[in-house]
Amino acid sequence: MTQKTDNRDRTFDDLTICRCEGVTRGQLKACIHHSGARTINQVKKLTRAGMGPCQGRTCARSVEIILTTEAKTPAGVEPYQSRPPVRGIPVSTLAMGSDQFHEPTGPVSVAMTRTPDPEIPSKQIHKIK
Amino acid sequence: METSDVVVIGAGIVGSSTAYYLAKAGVEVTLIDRRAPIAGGTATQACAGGVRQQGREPLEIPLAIYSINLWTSLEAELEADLCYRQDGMTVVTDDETCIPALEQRVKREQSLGLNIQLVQGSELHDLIAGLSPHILAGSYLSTDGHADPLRTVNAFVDAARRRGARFKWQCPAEGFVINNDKITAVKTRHGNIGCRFAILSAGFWSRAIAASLDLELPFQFFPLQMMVTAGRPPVLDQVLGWLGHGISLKQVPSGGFVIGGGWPGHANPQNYSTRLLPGSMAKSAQTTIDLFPSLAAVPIVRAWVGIEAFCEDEMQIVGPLRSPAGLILATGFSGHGFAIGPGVGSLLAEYVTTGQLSDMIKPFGIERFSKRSEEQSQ
Repeated sequence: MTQKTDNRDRTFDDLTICRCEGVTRGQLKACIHHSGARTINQVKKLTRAGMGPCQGRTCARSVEIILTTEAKTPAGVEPYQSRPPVRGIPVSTLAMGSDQFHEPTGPVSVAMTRTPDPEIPSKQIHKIK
Repeated sequence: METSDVVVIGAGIVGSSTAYYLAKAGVEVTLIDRRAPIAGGTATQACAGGVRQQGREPLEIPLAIYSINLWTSLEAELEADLCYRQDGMTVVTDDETCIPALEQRVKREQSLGLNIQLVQGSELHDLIAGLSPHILAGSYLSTDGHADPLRTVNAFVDAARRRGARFKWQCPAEGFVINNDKITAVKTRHGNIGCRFAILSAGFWSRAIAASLDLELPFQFFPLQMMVTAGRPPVLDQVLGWLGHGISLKQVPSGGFVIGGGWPGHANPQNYSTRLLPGSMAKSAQTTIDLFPSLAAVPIVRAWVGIEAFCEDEMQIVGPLRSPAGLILATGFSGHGFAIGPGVGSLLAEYVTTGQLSDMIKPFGIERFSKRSEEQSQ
């Protein structure tokens, strides 16, 4: 690669690729080179590209192209893993009718939130047996 | 045959930190994983990233304190941004009848060396703006905090690589070669790796690997749900828990609120497939609003499920086996292995290099289960 293209290549490193999370091309390149990430979902987990409100709808193609170019490997075989609820839903909307669900009856016991004295009944937490 | 002094099976927080501290001590180590680090569906995935000492079994608190001391310099040690924030954690209650028990726990943990305090009423609401008004008291520990699990695991792997550790990804362990009651190699799908020590740190999947030795690991899996909101300006620096309610809440540096708390999903560990339960999402959302009302209007952008291994007594299995010699277990962390992972890794590396098993991990040997069943049968 000549000096000229090298410089131009770096010029674009400030370019924001994931607008939701503010991830630049330079950060994506660095991640691919340093971590050895070779799939778009690995890159996502390390840089947060695609983790914001649009869930990668805007940046997926660009991240894919950068990954393919930098890693010199076809990356397009795997799309961003889509996560429910797919579109952002306000916490209050999601909570609507929460008492109507029979399943689950409560969360799994986590020591942190268990009532510290066994004589005081824990409200809803299942003790694992 | 390929050989390595130590083979570590499973590249989560425990395996990756163990590999790092071994490599740092100059030990030849190979870290293998069925897939790759930070692959989906695993315990690392289900991790909410809390780095806490409080609310643990008393037996575990020395290990937690030791680990937090490692955490405070971990970003410098690993030369990576782990999004680690040591801004405190408070476990709150809205139930007056729970306050004496909470106070007892605070006193017990103070006696174990934690600088934890019971904070009540307006003092609590001054400490944490945005708590629901009906919250009455909480246990506040300023040295608890949170970090990004995916970055942390990856940073350990990277740092281990720089120290000379070797890796084999997409390389499932299938069992062990035993000679004279001693491990001499780990069998993998891609051939055997000769070794002096094998460390089994593969979360729930450890069970199938241990079964090849007729060793039954006494745990079951739980698929745990996590949710995260869209980013908002920083309002919450602490981690929040709520006695008797399923929630752990924190705001991460990117602005999103991470909501855990043990709400279950569905999962099939065979193929790592996981599914969300609508009831869990709804109830977790309601709990969130009940604790921190201003989050009502913030959108949830992602929810997911990861698989964690829970032992019967909800404590991890850590330590060497007597038979076969050379096999070290570090698994079944029961939903709270992230914070203590670096400590376990460091102490297991110490065991491999010196032969001394630290008192901090001695209580967690698998022998405790056989003792228990003997007692029960008597």
